[in-house]
Amino acid sequence: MKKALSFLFLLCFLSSPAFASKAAPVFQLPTETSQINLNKLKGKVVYLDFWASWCKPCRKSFPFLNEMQRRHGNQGLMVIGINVDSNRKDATKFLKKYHANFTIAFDEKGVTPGKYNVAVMPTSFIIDRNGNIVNIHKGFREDHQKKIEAMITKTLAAK
Amino acid sequence: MMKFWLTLGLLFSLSACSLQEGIKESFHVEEIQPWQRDILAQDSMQLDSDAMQSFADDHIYFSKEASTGGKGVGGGGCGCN
Amino acid sequence: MKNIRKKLSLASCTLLSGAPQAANAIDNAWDLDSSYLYYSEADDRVTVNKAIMKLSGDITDDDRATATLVFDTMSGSTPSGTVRSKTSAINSITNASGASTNISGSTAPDKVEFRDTRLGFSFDWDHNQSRLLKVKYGGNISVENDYQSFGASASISKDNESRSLTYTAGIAGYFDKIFRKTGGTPEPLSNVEDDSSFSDGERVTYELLGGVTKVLNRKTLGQLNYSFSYTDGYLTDPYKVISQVELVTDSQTNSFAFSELERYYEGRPSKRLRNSIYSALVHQYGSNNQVIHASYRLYWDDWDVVSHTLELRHRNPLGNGQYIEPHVRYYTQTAANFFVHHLNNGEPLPQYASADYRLDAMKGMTIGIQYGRPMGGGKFRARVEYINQQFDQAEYNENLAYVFQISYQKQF
Repeated sequence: MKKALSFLFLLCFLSSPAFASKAAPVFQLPTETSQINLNKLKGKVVYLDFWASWCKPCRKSFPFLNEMQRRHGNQGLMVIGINVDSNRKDATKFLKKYHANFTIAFDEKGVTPGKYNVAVMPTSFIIDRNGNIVNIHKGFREDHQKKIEAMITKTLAAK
Repeated sequence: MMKFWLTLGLLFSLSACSLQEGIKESFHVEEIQPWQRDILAQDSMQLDSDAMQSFADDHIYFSKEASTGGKGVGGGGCGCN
Repeated sequence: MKNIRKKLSLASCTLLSGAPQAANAIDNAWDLDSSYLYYSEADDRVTVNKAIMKLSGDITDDDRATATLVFDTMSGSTPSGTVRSKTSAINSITNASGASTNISGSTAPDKVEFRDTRLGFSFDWDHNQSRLLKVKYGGNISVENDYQSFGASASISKDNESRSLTYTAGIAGYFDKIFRKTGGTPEPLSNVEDDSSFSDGERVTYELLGGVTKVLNRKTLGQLNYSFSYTDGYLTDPYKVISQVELVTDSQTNSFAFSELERYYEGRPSKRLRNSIYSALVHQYGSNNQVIHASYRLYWDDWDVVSHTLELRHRNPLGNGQYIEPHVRYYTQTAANFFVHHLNNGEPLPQYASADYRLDAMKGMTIGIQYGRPMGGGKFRARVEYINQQFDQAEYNENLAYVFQISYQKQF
């Protein structure tokens, strides 16, 4: 009886909103040089950002994304910018002008943002080492950079 | 004189390729995803695509006609943030 | 400056060291748009030279400020409202600058010369109240030799969650002061020879605006709005006059002609209530990404002026960021209920009357073309327009004008 009750209690606890982290939807997309598969990135903290060349706040976020990769890459952070331009050429043209230190993946058909229920451009997700989404950030603002970095370092520190 | 200009203007506007098709497809209403706003984000797709032109025109027609105003609201664009 | 910043950002990227890149390394903070416009009417009528400069920039993540400066000079001659009669009993005219000129008495002058300079400044502040809510505040001031205007406006815009719908509501207020260069305003419907004048004219205008913009599909945007305005105060033009005439037989041509007996200053109502419904559609189509802008405005006021405005613009990309954009505008208006071509001898003066051709029934058509191209990191545009206005009854029943405008916008 006691065992059953404690099992039920554990079940409730595990399924409560405070605890439940959604598993990040998997994807496999081409990058500039090869391919990237989210499944193969377990053990790393992934900062996933959906961006497009026509999105002004996305352009503004580039220096921040570069900085995050630079500062925390050696702690196991992998910044991935999934580009959703329907024409890859627009993205390539943009990248020639604005250098990216981090991995760029191309999703011309826009399948991945759908899987992630992206509600606004840009949206970024912090995915922990177990492949779960621990933070969703809508839009990009200069004054949120510190907060996001704090969350990244916290996720890097967690087991 | 007026008839000449009216006809010229009408021909002018109808001569644009596939214009009639464009009119038909423009009224098809559908919800689009936030990552599908690439076309709407373009400068030429803004309601006021050249602010200098409309600013000047507003003043010209305000001075030479009996009507004023009408425009003045925003919307559309990339829908970012 | 821009090159240095770019080089620095590249350097810090490749060296993987140094301070983080400046937050605005990619998009530059300020946007400057400058323009020159030339407007010229046929028959040595009005000529305008206008210079406009608009500076805007993001002050914070949530705030954008815009300042616009306009400077223009107007010169030439404009119809005064009198009839071109063979004879006139009026021996002097007061032109728009206020000076009196004696005329030799035969053909009545019907155009008055003028020269005016205007300076206008407006300031707008856009603030993101929250993610989906934006407020805009605006102030403007305009000054010329015989006219001053001060105004303020505020509006609020709310987006739905998917940003496919934007609702806007706004209010605005203006205070205008109108006076002749010689001071004061003439007593409405007084005889010009009586030289009866009142103090400067003042008026207040209140405006309300409500609208909705909807994303119809990936390539189409639609807008519908309604605006209302109410003006109370001096709405008369202090320079415009009306001829009181009688028909005479011209012995030379054996036809009827007007003979001007008296001349009166015009007088308009002291209130005006205006409405307009405006709708617009922007749509991209075709393999070459052509864009069509179509708009229609219905206007009506309590002076019985009803107007229709239909405007079409068609942008044709030419490659390398260049485009040409033909433009056509159709306009019709009915006459104000107190518009007259002339006053008849022997009839009592009406309560309100004006012979200003701009209040006459009219059909106008504009055709034009604009060319644009990227240039030096910014955007260059040039356009020409031809305006043809045909008036029903006014003494000067045609207005033909050319517009030339050149603009350059750049971020820095």
